[in-house]
Amino acid sequence: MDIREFDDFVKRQQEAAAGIASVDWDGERKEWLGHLDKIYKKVESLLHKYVSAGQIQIGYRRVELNEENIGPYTAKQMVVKIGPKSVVLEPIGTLLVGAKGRVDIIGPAGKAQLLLVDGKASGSASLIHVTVGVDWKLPSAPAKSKREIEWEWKIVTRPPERRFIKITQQSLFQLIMEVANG
Amino acid sequence: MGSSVIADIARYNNDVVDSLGLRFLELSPNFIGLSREEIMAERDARIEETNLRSAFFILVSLESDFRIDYEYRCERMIEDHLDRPFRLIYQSRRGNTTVGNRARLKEDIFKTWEVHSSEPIPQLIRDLRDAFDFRNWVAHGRYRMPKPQGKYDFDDVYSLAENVLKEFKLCRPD
Repeated sequence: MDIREFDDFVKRQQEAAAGIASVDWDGERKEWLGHLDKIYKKVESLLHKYVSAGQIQIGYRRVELNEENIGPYTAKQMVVKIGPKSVVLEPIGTLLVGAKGRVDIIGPAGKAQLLLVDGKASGSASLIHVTVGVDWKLPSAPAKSKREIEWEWKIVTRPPERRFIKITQQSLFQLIMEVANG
Repeated sequence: MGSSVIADIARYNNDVVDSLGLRFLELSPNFIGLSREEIMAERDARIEETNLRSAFFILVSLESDFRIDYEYRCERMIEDHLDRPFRLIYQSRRGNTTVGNRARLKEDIFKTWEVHSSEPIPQLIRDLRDAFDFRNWVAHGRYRMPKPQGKYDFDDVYSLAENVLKEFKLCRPD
């Protein structure tokens, strides 16, 4: 191997480390926890009718999360009790590919995902852009979008489609029934 | 022949493991919403599965080497320390509709090598028996039975196969 190749590799890693150090990780954590509160509030409001009738109970537990660069921190986990069945909204974290946050919905019959993604994205495939070069030329870098991303919590359908579905009363109820075997 | 087959399997395994490494470095819609740790865990699971399959094929190739050797010795009447016991098995199996006319790998072929050879052959046969329990588990029981005890990753199985092919003078037709 050429020594210059190794020099370049070391240089690239140092640049990457400098990039990582310049990120406001504390701010990232706060922003994610803010979005987490928002989804819990939304679920509470969609289940309000049942909670106020005493048919569903909602509680919270504290869970420890630990993410690369952010370090350990505490977040809230939501527990929805419907009779003998419990459905847990488990926060996973914010440092994810293509998403700003993830909450797994875990019930006795299965698991589903809520992702905090670009509100305009319709599915996971729409978040990946592939450009190719021809005649051995490197593809040009994709232009940076000038649009400000509006993050939105969405339900992710199962693979291979992995479509993003808007969270409505109907879609949330269906999801809860699926994971709770309702 | 056997050593070139296992070398081919090892090269194939390396190519697939290297490709998996690259596959999990690139963005894919399947990775949306996953953390780096989850992606790495998925990659490691794929690599483990690849290694397991390659280890299985190494053992399939070894089984075939032992069977070809046994049949060659019996049909060509090779005279050495194994000829009498192998021929007895061969004659008892011929036309035997109850147990089938093929020699059994562990009970007949491995047993004969173990009893009629000096070290390190018997020790290698003991290792092979355990490895073939693993091979049978992959082939028949992995989705309903727990994995057999012992360490059977690709490197272990490859090095066992390499030692076996070096120590056993397995015959095969030209």
